[in-house]
Amino acid sequence: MRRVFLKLCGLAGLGLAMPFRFSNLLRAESKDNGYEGPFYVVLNASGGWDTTYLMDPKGIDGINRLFEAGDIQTRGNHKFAPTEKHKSGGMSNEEFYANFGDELLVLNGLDYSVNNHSPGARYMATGKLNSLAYPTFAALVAACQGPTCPLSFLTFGNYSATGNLVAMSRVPYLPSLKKLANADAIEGNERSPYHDRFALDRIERALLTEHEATAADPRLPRVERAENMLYAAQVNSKALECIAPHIPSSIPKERLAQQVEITLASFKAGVCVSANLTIGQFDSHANNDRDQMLLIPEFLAGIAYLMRRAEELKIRDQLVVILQSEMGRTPTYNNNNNNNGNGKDHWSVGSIMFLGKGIKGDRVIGATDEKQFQVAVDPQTLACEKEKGIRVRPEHIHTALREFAGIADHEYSKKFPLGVPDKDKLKGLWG
Amino acid sequence: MQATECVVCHKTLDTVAGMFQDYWRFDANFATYGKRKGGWFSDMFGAGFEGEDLPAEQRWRALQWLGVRTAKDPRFAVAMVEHVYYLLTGRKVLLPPKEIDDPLYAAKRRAYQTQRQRTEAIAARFAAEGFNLKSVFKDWVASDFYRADGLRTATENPTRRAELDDIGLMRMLAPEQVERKLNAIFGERWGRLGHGDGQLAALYGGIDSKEVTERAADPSGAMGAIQRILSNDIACRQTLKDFARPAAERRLFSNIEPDIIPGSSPKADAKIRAAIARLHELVLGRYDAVDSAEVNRSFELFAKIVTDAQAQKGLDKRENYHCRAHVPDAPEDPHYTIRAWRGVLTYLMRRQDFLYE
Repeated sequence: MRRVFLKLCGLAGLGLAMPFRFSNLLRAESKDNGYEGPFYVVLNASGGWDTTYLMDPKGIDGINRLFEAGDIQTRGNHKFAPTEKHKSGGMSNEEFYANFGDELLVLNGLDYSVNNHSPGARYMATGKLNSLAYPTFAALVAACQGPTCPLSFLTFGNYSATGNLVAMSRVPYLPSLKKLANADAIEGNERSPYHDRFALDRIERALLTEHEATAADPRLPRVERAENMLYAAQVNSKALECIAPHIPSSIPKERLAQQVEITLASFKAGVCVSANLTIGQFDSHANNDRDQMLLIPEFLAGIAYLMRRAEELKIRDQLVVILQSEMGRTPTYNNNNNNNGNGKDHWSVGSIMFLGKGIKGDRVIGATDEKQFQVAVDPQTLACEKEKGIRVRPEHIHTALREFAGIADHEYSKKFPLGVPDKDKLKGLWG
Repeated sequence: MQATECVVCHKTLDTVAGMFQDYWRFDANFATYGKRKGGWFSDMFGAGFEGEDLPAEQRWRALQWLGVRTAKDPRFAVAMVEHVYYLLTGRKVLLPPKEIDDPLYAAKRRAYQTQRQRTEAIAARFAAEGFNLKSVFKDWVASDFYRADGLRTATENPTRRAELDDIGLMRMLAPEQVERKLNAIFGERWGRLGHGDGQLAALYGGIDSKEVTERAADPSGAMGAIQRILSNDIACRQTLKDFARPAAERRLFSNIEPDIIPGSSPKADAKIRAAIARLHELVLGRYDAVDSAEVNRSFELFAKIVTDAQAQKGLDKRENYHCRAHVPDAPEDPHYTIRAWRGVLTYLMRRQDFLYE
């Protein structure tokens, strides 16, 4: 099928007809298996997670009502909050660290700089606070490494701007994926094609002829770009047929698990580079401990599901996973009549976690102090350095991510500079 | 609030925020927006608007007071004009280029300035005419920014291309718009891109007004697949059904019959070309001459499908089951012409003229 697709692309003369971001189609698709990795997954705890109930536990001064400092658990170099007794489903921190602590990199004391949802989500996703134009890391890496993959950048919500570098694909349900995979067949059933094969071939050739004819006409740049993108989208969509064998017969019920299945089937088929997964409702103003004890275990279970299914599909060694939220929660419980004193509000200091290919685990970088304020970090040694260190912000993380993914010098990355001076780059973040 | 870098924004934001200090709900379920227990913040600028304090006697109607001043501010008219541009084109107005080292900086600057001049001119008229928003729509629609649809000569000059980059209306139809267009052409919606089937609508770049609030501007591979499904399915539903009606009642094929075979006579070919020209008008909104290159391509597609079919053995003499299942008294298709017309319709519906505005 892949060869058929490549042949079609060749027939289509995409190298000539496509806009510049499609011009390297044949090179990018030169392998018979499509894009083979690394695959980037960004998991968002949307609404603002309470890091003190996960990777940055405190247990002092009333910051956590569910445990004391002496209850804090450790695993290798990690410290984490005990949640086994408090969860009602999903995965506890104890299980999560037992399974993934050895490969987990944690950065505590991340300065989100803002405590509003929209700018926070944008800042965390792009590394740029004061621009709406910047692409998310997931979109950027997809544009750089797989611009012609039909589902190059998958997103299931949260901030997903593309910087107009790559198309954003939303495929929220598994059955939808099957229909897409067999678009020329009735209800996705490949044994019931709409057209006889010879008729469909004629239609495709007529579209190609039409495309070439219009390309010769003088056109406005915007019209030309739109025509090229439309034609590329329809041609590239045929590569989705590769997904069909990887679509599971049963659909998981959990929110993240459904997103994971769509993502992994697309990765496995070689049609996707990155995915932005998300679950919401972390915004626990009303009842922090109850909400966080429902959502953090759900989030961790989703990560575990991702890793297990990737293992089964034999692509786990190609996964790069980023776990983040747009903000943290306050060190104190809110205290007003409306919230009954059980909620926590927005806090502009938090954490981020990574695991996967090329990331050295069992490490914790940065910290917050006893009042949950950020402790500065020496970017050269990554040690906490209160006096001379820097405040690690999303742009530092994104600069490191771009270097990690090998796209820091790509023209698209240069188009969206992050402005971190060399002396402030986090040296050796990935180990 | 004394640091200069803070004051620059807060002197505007705080004062407007203060206007909302009494805007809260009694309902406990909306407790987040309840009245602030300790009173309004005393460490920020007080309520007002751009240097004018809110008079104490006006506090009970603070938002109305703010509304009057907002509308009087010249930026209000400009903001509305910019918003209408977004509604019409699906994209925001240009921002001034920042990268002075960009070799195309001068061209981008010219593009921005030209558009900005038009924006301000429309805004001035908008204000002068008593803020009637209809005038803004009219002015934009009458402008070259909206109406330009081609170039007289091709240009590969990057500078000129940068100047023209934002000119013209080229907007992919949103899922709801596609449904409305289908209804206008065929007399019925597809029903799979509307609110009833959020799956495909979301896939096709639609919004749910919750997590997804921005429509996709460019098609992805997934959307390309939906366009294939759409064109296949609509052509399947409509072609045979239309031929099953008396000629006078048909929407699509009122001037052609299934027994008219391409190449059988000049008269037959002329009829087929006329039918294609009519389809172009209906589906693409194009008024192509029967001997135009556009009609030639559609004619060739139709003729070749029929010819290919003649070379096939064992083809059913009827439309496929799915396409004829809901058509009472469906005519047979012994010459494969109905299916060839379905192929033409599929081809047309995958074109930019159909899928874009």
